[in-house]
Amino acid sequence: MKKFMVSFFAMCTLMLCAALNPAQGASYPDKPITLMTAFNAGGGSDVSHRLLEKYAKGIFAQPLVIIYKPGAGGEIGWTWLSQAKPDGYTIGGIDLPHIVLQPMLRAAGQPGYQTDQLNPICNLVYDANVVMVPEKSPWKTFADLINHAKANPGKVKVATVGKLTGDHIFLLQIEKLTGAKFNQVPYAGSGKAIPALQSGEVDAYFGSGSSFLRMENTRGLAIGSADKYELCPDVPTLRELGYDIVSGKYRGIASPVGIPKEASDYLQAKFAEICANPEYQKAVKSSGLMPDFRDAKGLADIIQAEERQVREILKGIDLKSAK
Amino acid sequence: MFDPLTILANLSDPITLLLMALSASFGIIMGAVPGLSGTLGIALLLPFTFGLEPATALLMLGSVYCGSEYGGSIPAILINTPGTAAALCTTFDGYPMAMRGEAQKALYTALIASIFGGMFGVCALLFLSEPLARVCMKFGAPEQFWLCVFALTIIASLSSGNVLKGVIGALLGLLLACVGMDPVTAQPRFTFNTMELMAGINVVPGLIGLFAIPQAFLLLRPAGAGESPMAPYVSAPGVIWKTAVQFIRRIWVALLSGVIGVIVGIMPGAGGNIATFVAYNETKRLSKNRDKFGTGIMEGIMAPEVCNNAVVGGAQIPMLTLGIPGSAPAAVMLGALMTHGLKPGFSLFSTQGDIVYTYAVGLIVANILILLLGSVFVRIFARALQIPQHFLVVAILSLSVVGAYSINNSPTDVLTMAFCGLLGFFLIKFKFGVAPMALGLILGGTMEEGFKLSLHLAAGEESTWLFFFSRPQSLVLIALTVLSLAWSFWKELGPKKDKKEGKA
Repeated sequence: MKKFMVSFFAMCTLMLCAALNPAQGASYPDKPITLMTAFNAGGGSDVSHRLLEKYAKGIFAQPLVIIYKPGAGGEIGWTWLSQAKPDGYTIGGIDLPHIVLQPMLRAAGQPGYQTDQLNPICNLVYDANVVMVPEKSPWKTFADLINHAKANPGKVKVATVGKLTGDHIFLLQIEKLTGAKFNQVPYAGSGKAIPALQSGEVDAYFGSGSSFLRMENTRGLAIGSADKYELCPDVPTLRELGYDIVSGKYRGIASPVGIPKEASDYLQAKFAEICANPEYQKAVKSSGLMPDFRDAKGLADIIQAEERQVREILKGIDLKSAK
Repeated sequence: MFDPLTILANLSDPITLLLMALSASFGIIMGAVPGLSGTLGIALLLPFTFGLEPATALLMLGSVYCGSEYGGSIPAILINTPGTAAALCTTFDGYPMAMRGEAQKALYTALIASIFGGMFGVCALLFLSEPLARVCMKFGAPEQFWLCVFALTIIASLSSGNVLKGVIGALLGLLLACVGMDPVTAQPRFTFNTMELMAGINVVPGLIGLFAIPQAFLLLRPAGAGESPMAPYVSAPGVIWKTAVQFIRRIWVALLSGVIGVIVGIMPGAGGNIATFVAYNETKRLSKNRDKFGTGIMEGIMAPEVCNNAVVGGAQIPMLTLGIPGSAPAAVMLGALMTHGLKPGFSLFSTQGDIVYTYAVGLIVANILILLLGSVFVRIFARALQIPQHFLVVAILSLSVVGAYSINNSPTDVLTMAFCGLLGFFLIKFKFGVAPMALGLILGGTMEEGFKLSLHLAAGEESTWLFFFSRPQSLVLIALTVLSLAWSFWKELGPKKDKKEGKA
């Protein structure tokens, strides 16, 4: 009891000191660091960032302060981040392949950030895409699903989160390699897609493994990770099934372009320290994500690879009809 | 498992109770200031709970949630501006009652109704979680659409005497709700190639604009020019007991609204805002005093207030059992749950039974705390009516700006608020009323999403029409809509006939 009262007041005092005494100490950071979340409070990104905030205590010299800039599937937040002051005190969570897809597919004339306006700091977690069906579904294997879909083109209802998003690309990849045709039903978020699958409103859900791990009474038919996925080792990978599909989402941290080197080095080192904490890793895993720390270079490589892959997949697909 | 001794031990800790009382007060204030909301309150408090035991942390956050739902009624009654979107219907009767000099009675009614609703919802959460979660599963995209259509029928009874103006107002609201990214296909609409309009017209700044700004303008009228829009302050000792007795006499209103709150609350995507419209409308239809609704009667405050607090329990049923939040604050609660290492699911009640049951029983305690705190707060808030009008105008205007900005730290929201304020002023001036437009703005996004998803789902079916009109759950809602409309038409034509006969 005493322990948490102490930590409660310590937190208050810390915030107060930070607010009253911004000039103390010349080296970075000398004031709280703002961490922008481009989605609503309570969503998957929020949980990831709250875990960072929780485990940053004692590692970061200043607290992380979370602000929300939700809207338009992340576009609002990432545009805001790309225009923020590059002083190292404003950073934000970025998601892949979202930040690659949005600038690429944006409607003509509509303003917004470009992928290279977000300066990668580090990657935090990986979330493999999964082909899921309800437990009572007659399809026991991925082949069952594909055979049924091929025999009844456009009849199998598949939930994805959004149109022209990571889930949609995953669906397009599967359609391309298997020759099956699905009826895509794009939900606004996993919070809407999950009940749709569980109630049988849709026949399948092609989406994040974190959603799969959150659900009860669901069967995973195939997973898009490159190797066996630690969080659900029973689900066969698409590669094992003979389809060369590697599909998933990455969540990392980025800043506006041009922040001081001192700041980016500090952030990278400190986030690495958080990610190495076994307690943090356990918490991340229990929220359905795989800890996957990569430094700035590593994240930049992921962005490039995703960009290549997306261009490859979208080639030959009529975007007008996909919309 | 359900272990009364552990729960009692967890809850009898004085520090836990103190933290809950503080959180509840914080929640009441967050709810009472238009623009600040329970959602924001929970998100702000969350980092301070990291060091606490999960049960205590959840109780603090839950207390904020309960407090904010009650708090929303206070400005609705005193200055005709709902503190939260779910308190919108409270303005219909709360403000007229305050104008009659019965502000305390209105505030106590809202307080008692909130507590009753809160406890009703929590009881549903405690005893009926599993069956209700199964009901929740039966509602899909078509039902989401039909429920919104059903809620729209309230326009007919809101704008009694001039349904056309009500419909125009609601259409205006629905049109504004279309601005921004398409909820299903993500295509930008009416954005004029600006980033600012991509996120659409945010509902909360819209509501602040529609209600608070015209109210401030009306207060600016010089004294003596028409009726003052400010309720008088009349001291009323002992009114709480009289209110409580009158509340018990109208208990059927509370029970009906409680049931509506729980059922609509568990439907993902619907939430408290829609529930209160349905509760207000149904209570009005079934009441013997239906003609007096809107003039400041107790039933009109009880229905929305019981309902929006019953939603607190209802919305947390799918959150705890299925990991699906039934409302915006419940979504943040879900995040909090997961940050504290609890995984939602039916098994949560058996594996983490201590925490979950302590939390649910604790919410009842939180409601009792709010009752005690509220009875003190009412006395203070009622004094707000003694503030000279010129100070109040400045306070309302500046709080509106701060409130609109603080939602997402977005200057666009302030402009939205100002625009809707101007629009609201003209709507009131030309007797359209702001409520139908607010209704359209609130329902628009949810309704469109339900409609478009249904179209997608129907693409794999035989016939799109059949998909919309054949599901039994949908048919129930359609039948209710038709009944509601038929009843309104009959009511609308009935009294006119009487009047004519009276004249003749």
